[in-house]
Parts: sequence; C-alpha cells; structure tokens
Amino acid sequence: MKRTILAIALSAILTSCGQAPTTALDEGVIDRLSPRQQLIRLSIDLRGIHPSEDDLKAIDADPDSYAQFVDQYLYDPLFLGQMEDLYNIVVRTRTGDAWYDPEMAGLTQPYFEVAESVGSEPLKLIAHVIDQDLPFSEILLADYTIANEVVADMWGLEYPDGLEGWQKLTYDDGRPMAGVLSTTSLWTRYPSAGLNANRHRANNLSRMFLCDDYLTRPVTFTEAQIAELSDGGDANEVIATTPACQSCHSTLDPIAAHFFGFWWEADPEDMAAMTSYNPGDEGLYAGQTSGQPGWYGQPTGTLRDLATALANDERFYDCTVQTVVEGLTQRTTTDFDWNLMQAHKDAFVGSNLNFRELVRSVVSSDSYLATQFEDPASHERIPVVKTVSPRQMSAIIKDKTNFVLAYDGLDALKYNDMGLVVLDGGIDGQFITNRTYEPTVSSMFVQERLAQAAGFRVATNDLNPLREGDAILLKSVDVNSNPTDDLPAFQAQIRSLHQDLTGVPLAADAPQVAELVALWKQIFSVTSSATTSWAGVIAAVLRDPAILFY
Amino acid sequence: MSYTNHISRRSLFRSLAGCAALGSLGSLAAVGQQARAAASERKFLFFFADGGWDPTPLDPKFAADGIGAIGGTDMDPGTFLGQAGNLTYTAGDDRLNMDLFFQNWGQRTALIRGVNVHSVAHDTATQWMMTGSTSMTAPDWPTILASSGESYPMPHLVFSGPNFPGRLGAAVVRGGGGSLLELIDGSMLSYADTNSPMHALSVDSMIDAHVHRQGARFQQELMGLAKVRADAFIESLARASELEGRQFEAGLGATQSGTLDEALMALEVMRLGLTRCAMIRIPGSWDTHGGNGGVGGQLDEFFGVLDQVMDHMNRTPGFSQSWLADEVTIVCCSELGRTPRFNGSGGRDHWTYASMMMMGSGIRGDSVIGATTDDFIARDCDFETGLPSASGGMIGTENVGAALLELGGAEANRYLPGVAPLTAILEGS
Repeated sequence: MKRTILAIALSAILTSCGQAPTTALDEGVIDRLSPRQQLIRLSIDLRGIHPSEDDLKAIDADPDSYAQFVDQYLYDPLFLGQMEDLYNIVVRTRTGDAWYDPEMAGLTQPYFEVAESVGSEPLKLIAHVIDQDLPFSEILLADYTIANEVVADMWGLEYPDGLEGWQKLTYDDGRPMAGVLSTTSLWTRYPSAGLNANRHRANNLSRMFLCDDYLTRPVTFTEAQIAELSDGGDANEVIATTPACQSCHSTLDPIAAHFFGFWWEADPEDMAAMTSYNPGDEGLYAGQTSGQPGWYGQPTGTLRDLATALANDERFYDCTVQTVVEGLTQRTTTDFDWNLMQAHKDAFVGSNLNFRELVRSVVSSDSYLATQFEDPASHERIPVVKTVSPRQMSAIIKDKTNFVLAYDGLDALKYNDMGLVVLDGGIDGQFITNRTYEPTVSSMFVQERLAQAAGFRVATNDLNPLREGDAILLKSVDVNSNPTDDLPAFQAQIRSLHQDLTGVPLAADAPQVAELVALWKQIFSVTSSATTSWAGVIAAVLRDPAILFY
Repeated sequence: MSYTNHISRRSLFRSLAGCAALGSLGSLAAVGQQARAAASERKFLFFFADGGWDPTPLDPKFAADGIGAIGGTDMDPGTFLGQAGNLTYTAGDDRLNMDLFFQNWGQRTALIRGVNVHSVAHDTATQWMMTGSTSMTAPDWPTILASSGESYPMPHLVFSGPNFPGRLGAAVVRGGGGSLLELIDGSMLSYADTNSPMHALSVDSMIDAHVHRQGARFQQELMGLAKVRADAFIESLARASELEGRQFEAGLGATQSGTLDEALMALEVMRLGLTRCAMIRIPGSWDTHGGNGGVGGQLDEFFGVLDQVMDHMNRTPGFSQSWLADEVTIVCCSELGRTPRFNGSGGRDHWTYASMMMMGSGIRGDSVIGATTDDFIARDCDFETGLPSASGGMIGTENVGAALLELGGAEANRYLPGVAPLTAILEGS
C-alpha cells in the first residue's frame, strides 16, 4: 500500500516536471521515458540512429504521436538492417569467415567482403520475409534463397544478367527447399564433424528456432555405460538403450537425420563437391545416428518436412517472440514475463505471424518505455537503460558528424576485422556470441578514440575559413571566436551542439554549459588552438552517457 | 613505484566525484584483516587448453613396472611413469620439459584428477569448467575474482581463451589481437582511412574529467540493471584513464603474441597492480579425435613455458608480496577429458573426467587431489584431504571453482550457494 502511495506521489512529481505519461500505464509501470527519449529509443532500435530534429520537435508538439512514429520507422529503409543485426545474435553467421577460399570460386573481392556476403545469406532471407510482410514461417518454407553475386559465385547459384545486389535465387542441386535451412551459408557455419553425425546442426536448429539448447543440459554417465564404451562398445547402441542418453538423443538424432545431404565431401580441390547438396547421401543417417528422420515423435522424410514441422510448431512462435523481446530489451526473459510474452505472442499469431506486428507490440509496451517500476525487483530483470551496439554507435556518430572510423574502406565498428567490434562489447558470431551491455575498459577506449577522431573531423571542417558547404555542427562560432569576447554566442553554440548530438536540449540552468565552456578554455590554455579546443568539446559530448545509453 | 603512493588520474576522479573519503579509509580497513587481505590481493593466471586435453599425462595409468599399460586405459606409445615427490605424471622423450618442470616446481604444484565437467560438448563443458554452471548469466572464475577485492584498471585481462563475463562485464578487458594496445596509445587512429591527430594526454585528462562528471550525474537515481550499467560506465572510465596514464610504465607497447610473451606481460601488469586475473589460451590441437601423437610435443612446449614463468615469478618482486610466486596462483585446465581407450584412429574422443593443475600462491604443493579408476572414472574423494573416500563425493568443476573463489577472498557462497569447495587444494589444508 505504501508503495502504491509512493508511486502515485512520484508520478505526480514527474508529471509536474513535464514527463507525464499521456495515456494509462500497464500494471507495474510507474513512469515512462519523456517523449523525446521515447523517440530516441525507438529510432535507435528500429533504425540504428537518432531521430531527426524535425521528428523530435514533432513528438514534443504532440506526445501522443509515438504510435505514428512506430508506423513510420517500421517501414524505414534502415529497419531491415537492424533486424538482421538482431537475428545475427541468434543465427551467428556473420563471423568474418568465408569458410572457403574465394579464389576457388574465381572471386577476386577482398576476403572480408566475401565473408560478409556469405554470412549475410540467411539474414537477408529473414529480412526479405520481414520486408514483404510475409508470415514469418516463410523463413523456413521459402522455396528460394536471397543471394548476391558473391554468394552466387561461392555456392554455384545461377545469377541472372542485368540484376545486381541481393535477389531471389534457387539452388539447383536437388536440395529440398526449406528457407534458411537450405542455405549453404548456414551449414558451412555449422558443419558436421562427421563423428557427431549432424547433431551439431540439429542442436543449432533447436537453439536458433526453438530457443532450446540441448548443450545446456548436464550430462551424467554411469560407470556401466562408460565401461561399455571403453570396452569398444557401439556408441549408438549405448545411446539407444540408455534412458539418460535418450532424454536428448531421442529427439536430437531424428532432427540430425535430415542433414545428411549436406554431408559434404572433403575435397580441397573441388569447391562444388565441398558445398553442393547430395540427394544420394540423404539416407546415410542409417548407421550414423540412433534415429530415423522425425520431429519429436512425428515421422518425417525430407528437409522440407522438417521445416514444415518446425514452422507449425507452437514453440517456434514462442521462440520468435523471445528472440525479439530479448533482442529489443537487452535482457533475458524469465517466467515473470509470461503475461507480457503472451500478449506479444497474441499480436504475432493474430497477425498471421507478421514480424513487424510483433515488433510493434514490443516497442509499444509500457515496459519497453519504462523508467520506473512499482516493484523495485523489476529493475533487476528489466534494464530501463539500454546500451547502443558498436554498429549503432558508428551509425549515430556518422549521422551526426559524417565521420566513420574505417580501415581499407571498412567501418571498424561494423566489421570485426580490426577487433574493435568485440572490444566495444559486440559479438564476432564465432568466439564471442553474447553482447556485453556493461561498458568495459576496452569499450571506453573505443569510444574515446572514435569521439576524438570525429571531434577533430568536425572542428577541422567547420572552422576552416575556406570551407565549402555548410558547417556540420559549429554554426555559431568561427576559428577566431572565444568565450571572453562573446560568451553568449559560445553558450548558444554549446547548447545547440549538445542538442544536435544527444537529441536532448539542456535545461536553462544546466551546469553543462558552463562546464563545457570551461573545458574549451582549459584546452585552449594548453594548446592555443580553437580547432583543438572545439575538437575536445565535441569529443566530450560524443562520449556523454546520453549517446552510449538510450 | 608504490601503487599506494601513485597519484593516479583515477583517484583524481574519485575526489572530483566527491568520494574522497574512500581513499582515507583504505589503509585503516586493512589493519587487523591481514590474512583476508592477502586472499583479496592474490592474483590468478589462467591457462586454458581449448579442445579438451588428454587427462592421462597428469593422471598416468601404468603397471607396477612404470612402463606397461594397465587394463582400462591406453597410454601413448613410448611413454612411462614420471615422478617428482608425490606427483606422478606421464613422462616421455617427447616431453622432457615435463620432467624439468616437475623437478623444479613440483613442491609448489598440485594435480587435480577426476574432475567431472558434466558434459562431453566443447561449448557446454567450457562453460562448466569456467563457471560451474550452464547459466548464460554466470560469470567465470577469473571475472568473479577480478570483480572482488581490490580494484584494478584492467581487472581481468583476456589475452586469448574463453571468457564468460555474466553481469560483471565491466571487469573484463579483452586484449587479443593487439588492437587494445593501439587503442590505449591512440596509434590506431594514425593509420585509419581518415588520419586523425591525437589529443595530448593532458587534454585527454580534461575531457575524461568532464565525461566522468556527466557519468556521475547519469548514475544518480538509477536502480537494478540500469545502475549496473551506469556504474560500469563510471568504473570503466576511471580504469581506462588510469591505464592511459600508465601505459608506458607497463611497457604495453612491447607485447608479443607468443604464450610466454603473453604470460610475462600478464605478470608484469600484475606486478604493477594493474590487473588481478589473466586468461591465456594454450596453443595446440588438443581435440585429438584423429590421433594422439602430437600431444607430447604440445605438452613439452607448454611445460617449457610454465618452467620459465615460474622461474620469472620467483625472481620478480610482487605488488603486495615479496615475490610474484607468493602472490600469483596459476591455474591450468581444459574443458574436457578424453577417453581412456584409443579410438580407431589412435585418438581419443570426449570424456567427462578431466585433469587440472595449479601452482603458486596459496596452493598446497606436491599434492595429488582426487583420483580415477583404472578405467578413468572419477572416484569419490574427501574434499578436505583430496584422498579417495567412500564417504566423499565426486569432484565437480563447481567444487574446484568454489575453492578458487575462497582462495581469492571472493564470496563463494554468493555465486555457488551450497557448493562444497575443494579445500584440499589450499595451502595449509
């Protein structure tokens, strides 16, 4: 009761501060982000960059226009790239590895470009399904893949003349078409080591699309089982006759049995032999695993049958919801989230598995926009502060300053070639598969260097008297301006700089204005350079928590 | 240079943030808690053999003559029983450095046998070995240790090998690939596509101080996970700033990529009080399904490195102790064991019972803890003595981890509630 009174009181205080919710809140949520912050969060999640100032002014004028921006951003050209990144955390195919020598396929592009294309094939198919508003089960049922010229050359697909970029293509080597499950890129990422008889692939299918990782289950061997195995016993026989083994293998092995057409030949001289599907090998499961092809007790036959069973499995819907919720909210869901998850699932299933409707449901929920929960324990499960990914950080800085930290033309926070993605808390898809949402020493250094270089880039451009075109950020000062002669102009510049970079205006009495003027003076006192001083001020604002967190 | 006398940029931030009281309390709090402080100041160097190393070299199964094989376990051809004090191991002409190491350092080394890793899959077993669980939010031993006790600029420095940060990611610094060092000194900007000038260190300090102030404002009134992230921002910024100021002192720019180079660099940053834990991958192809023939050579190379590392630790003053050898604990492990019998290719497949090795500060040397049968199945053991005991239990990775946390003064029961630590590894047990 006391907590409820406190909540009401706190809500009243926030209302008086202009942060009042304009509509009723879900149970347990005391307050939401301010309208500007709501739009910033939405834009970073759906577009990877901040909203434009025009958009921010529009939501200032009409705080209830959030839903309209959801509509707009769901169809923004940048939306699909964000969803590819979201699903890459699950599919993990963008590893920087092309798996085979591109020269064997006659490709001369830089290796990293080939690796990026190969790693993108399943993600582009997922993005296509989202883009076309198809039922999300199409990612498993599509009778085509999405490939560009590089992927086509690598895997021997026919790429039509006159087209360019990512297109609908088909494999013509006799493989059953089953959406991403038919893509060579996926199964080169998850090979079978032979002895594991495609169980590695089966488990990854389960992990990716059922959110059920067999490898998280503890294994216990009895002395009798070990004795039999160490006496040269047949492992498949032990698996088939031991209840503890069957708790996993009774379902895992029948899934694995679908992938023997992808049991590639190890011929280093023949790219096609190593990457083509072999229909004649489909029956090799006999003797290799303890199961016929099947799906949790239901007999199947081909890879297509497997995909159909998976696409109709309620757990696939649940897993899709879980993937989206966890990806957009940067947290692990628990049983406490059951009601919330059910509501999102209803939106997803009720829209014929429309992915955009699922995203809309998540980003429209109060818990997504919450800053305060009635129950303090909710703060232990739900972070009201989110952290931008390395790709988002790079895109935001580029959008604000035109600067990209690049090496040989590659954005160092988008591609992990230089290792900066991982150092900044991102994943490499292979060895580092979970994002780090807490800032680290290494991410501090990445952001410091990025901000420093961007600051110099802007200051050098904007203070150049011979500059062509508009200033990027420093529009109220020039290279001869100083705070002693014209403090108001300096303060106005700092205010606009802060708002342009963070999206949030400083309050009239905000101490940051005086502090940034003081910082400019400090730097100028040791460098005597207006350019260096402004570069330092811009770097300081670019490293503000308001940019890293959203 | 004494760390406590070092006026760091980090301590400057603390006073800027109005936390000056922290500094004056430190030395007083240490008085009367010396034994505990020693544990909290202990440092840990982990070596990890990725792929699942053969457990038999540290848990040999020879007949009484020390040469012939016994029933349930195949031994590598040409190997024989080696012994130094109470320690037995698999010796051979292809691994002479093992003899050298155990003769030199056996008195400071403990072998742990029959550790149940609860899985035969690489990824899961790695998680079990390093965290004692399969929870994706569980941090690994070095991350927990690095987050406990004293505060360091680079709490857990991962040169290579596995890392599970859990929710303690702020403690982890990934140093692999050399990029971190180029970030610290800023040289990475000099060869970017758009060349950028560098700020002088004094200017960097001014900017850092402003960012720190903003972080402190942001941190206010947050709760739960949000506060964890904001706290990590403040703490990581302070750590980065201190590291930036001390990069040349640590000689970070001279780091090479070999195992010995990485180990010596890890010891150097530990000596300077910059790091509490480090992780280094042991090179080699340890996943020997296709043949066990290369294991001896790989072990020879690794034990050669270990011998030099121990020698270095015995000759180098520590940060809080007279010598690094009294301050640093070395942990050597792998995610899996391998089958006692050779497969058709002369290799060994995955096995759930592994061998580990520890040495250095706080470790009960010249001791063998745990045991396996001739068929390489773990035997129940007394966790206090390490000896086989019908009334004891099977050693699991979680028991080893709990003991490591205890050794480092971390709250083992907080991370592994109800798990009995394998106290037999602890000096004085």
